[in-house]
Amino acid sequence: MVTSVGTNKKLNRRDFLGWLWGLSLAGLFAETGVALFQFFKPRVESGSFGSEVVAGTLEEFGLNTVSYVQKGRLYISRLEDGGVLALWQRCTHLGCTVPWREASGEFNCPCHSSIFNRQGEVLGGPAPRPLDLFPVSLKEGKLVVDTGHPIMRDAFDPSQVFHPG
Amino acid sequence: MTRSSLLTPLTESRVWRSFFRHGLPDNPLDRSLVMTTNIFFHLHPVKVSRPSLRWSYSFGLGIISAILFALLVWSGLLLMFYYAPTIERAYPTMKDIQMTVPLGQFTRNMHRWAAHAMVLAVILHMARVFYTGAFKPPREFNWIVGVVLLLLTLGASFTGYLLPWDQLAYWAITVGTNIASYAPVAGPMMRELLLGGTEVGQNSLLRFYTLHVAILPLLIGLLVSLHIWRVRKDGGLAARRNSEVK
Repeated sequence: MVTSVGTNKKLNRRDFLGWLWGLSLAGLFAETGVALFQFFKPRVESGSFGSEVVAGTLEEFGLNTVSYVQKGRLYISRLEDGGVLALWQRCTHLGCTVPWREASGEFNCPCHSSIFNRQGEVLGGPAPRPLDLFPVSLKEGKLVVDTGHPIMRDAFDPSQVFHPG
Repeated sequence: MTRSSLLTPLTESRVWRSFFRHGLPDNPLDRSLVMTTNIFFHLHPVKVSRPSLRWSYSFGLGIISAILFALLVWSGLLLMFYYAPTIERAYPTMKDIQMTVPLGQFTRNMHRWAAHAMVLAVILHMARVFYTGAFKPPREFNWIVGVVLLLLTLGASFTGYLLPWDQLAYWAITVGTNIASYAPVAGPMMRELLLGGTEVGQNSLLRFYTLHVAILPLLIGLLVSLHIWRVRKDGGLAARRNSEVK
């Protein structure tokens, strides 16, 4: 018995296989795209910048001081009441490293003259927001900073300060 | 004995004939065939409209850009024989090229000045195409190819800027990639992919080097071929409507 083929059906076998082939090809390209993205994505070495970094023991950071931790690309700012802020060294304007100026008690960016205080607040220049913070915790008497998750903030708030012990 | 008969055994030889299939063109048809069959001459249209041949019409900016690109490939290849893209050796090898390699300073300056000139020539070329209305149909697609070529040129210029690995390069790329991270949604990820990390370092130098010496020049070469081919297919240089070559 002969049945009519194709004309009244929406999708005949040839079209179906064509679509199947096309979609498999699209899937292959998508896979390649994801694989390439994974290939190029930067990886983070444990213990180095981008992961949890041990800044040092709490006693190393005196009250009312700002200390540079090169390994974590950050400053540990110890406030007068003993609170700790981990400030990312990266200027919030265009990413230059901001050096701490002990004499004036300010961070002073050499690229476009943004100025920050020891809480990271903007005192002047083009920076759009205070210096970014990293979450800090105390583990076995040592300050551990999670440099993988910077916290952007619009203003300084006392709740941002970590109080050890 | 005439000169031609002296050379006849050579020009009739199988090796010679395999290189050059024809004799010198001595009639208009053969001369136009030289243009269409030769790989180097075929880039130029066989016929062009008389007004567009005026020097002041195009200022030759497209061909100037192409010549500068060729110059950059040549001088860049020479520099690659000495330059090493590692953070310990990049700056010293650049200094070696400048101070100890014979003609090294000359080669490097050629590369640097040609790079600046190419950016300038490409932008002026774009302005010329705009002011002569050469982006209009049927040349819209070639305008798009041209815009991509402009971006690739700027990309090659930007990636090359990091390679000397001095203070200027380091902070320029720090600031430049941060500007990229201001792009919505994909900005920060784009920055990290480009840098191969969260800051300018060894990974960034290697990534910029690979883009600069392989990926971008290949793309530029490919698109320049397409660009010139489209100029021919779209009827040569744009000119006033009544003088267009059909």
